Amino acid sequence: MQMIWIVRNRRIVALMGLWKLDGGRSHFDAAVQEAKQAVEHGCPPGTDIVARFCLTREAFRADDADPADVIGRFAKANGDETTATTALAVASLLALDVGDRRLHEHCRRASLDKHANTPALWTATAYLLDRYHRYWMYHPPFTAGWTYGRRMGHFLATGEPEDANRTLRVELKTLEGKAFRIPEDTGDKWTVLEFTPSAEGSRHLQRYGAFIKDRPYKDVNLFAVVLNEDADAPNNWKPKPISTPHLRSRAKVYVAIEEWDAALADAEQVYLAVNSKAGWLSMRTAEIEEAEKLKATIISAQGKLSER
Amino acid sequence: MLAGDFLIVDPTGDFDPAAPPEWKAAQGRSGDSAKMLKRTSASVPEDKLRAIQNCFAKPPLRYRLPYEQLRANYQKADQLCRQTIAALSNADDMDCP
Repeated sequence: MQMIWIVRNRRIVALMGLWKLDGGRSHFDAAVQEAKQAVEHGCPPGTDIVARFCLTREAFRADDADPADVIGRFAKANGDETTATTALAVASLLALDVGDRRLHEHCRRASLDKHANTPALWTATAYLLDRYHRYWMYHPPFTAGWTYGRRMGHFLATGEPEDANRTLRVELKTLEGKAFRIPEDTGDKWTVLEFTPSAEGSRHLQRYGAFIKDRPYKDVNLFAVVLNEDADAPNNWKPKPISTPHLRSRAKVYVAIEEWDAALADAEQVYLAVNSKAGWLSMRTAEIEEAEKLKATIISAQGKLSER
Repeated sequence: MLAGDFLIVDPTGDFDPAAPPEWKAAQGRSGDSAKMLKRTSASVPEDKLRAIQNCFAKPPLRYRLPYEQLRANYQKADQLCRQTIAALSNADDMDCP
């Protein structure tokens, strides 16, 4: 078995992609020729969906074509149990091609009802559920004015449940190396999963953390999912060394709030750092003078304090 | 989406020449998703299939690709596919099991 249909399918998609990007008819014509070859040479049942997707688009262009009928034939040809699960999603896209809103909604609904959890359709399902696309679909292209923005904002953020039943099943590893399974280990609570690129976390995560803490009901879990390989970063975290100017400034702040011990500790560190840099008294620098003055001020203030 | 990329890109893992995404989608409803294609010495070489597949980026990277790179990827895929099809066109295509 040569399996040349795998190559043909990819060529058809590449040509349709070029057609969509450039708008030139030549790429689409080449895709149609390749699709005809693919159907003619045969392929396993259901895998010809890419070729039929392209040929159905070609069929729309016939003078006497009835788009709904053409899409109906496409769905029927791919409709039995042995053919592709992607057929309904493709039919919904074909309905978009011809601007048939009712047919698009029908195919979209059927695809979401039957295949929302099918891995092959994760991308298509995400597209069909995307509220931004849904808002702008069949929408007049007027964007001026604040009311349009408000209306879109309301549509995107309105708290309705998702338009499909999707279940996340995943097994993650905790910092202790134990398995954490979703949904089994969520304790039947609402669960927020925050995906972060690194273990240091983000301000976004902190905000959600506060939201959960402030809720009157303790019915929400919050988990951070670290995407990089260094999941132990919080355990290995060490504070960054503080620079000498920063230490000097901090010592002055401690002086201002009369935290004398902390001020002296910082001033001492500043004195040691600038002295080391200057070669231990081999030369007097302005920084050493300033550090000594700061130290003396603090010691003097401490002395006066103990005399009281 | 409208070009049909999602039909040939596997969101669950790497490309497997013995179970391409459209094949897995076709097996899904008959409940035999573990079934694999039997590859032979006459099959399209794996490295060629992988080179072609690499031209199609997975989401979400796919949506971040600049126009020029997207276009170049499609053109490269077209070129590689044409070369592969031309190289194998002399032999009988026994694709239907």
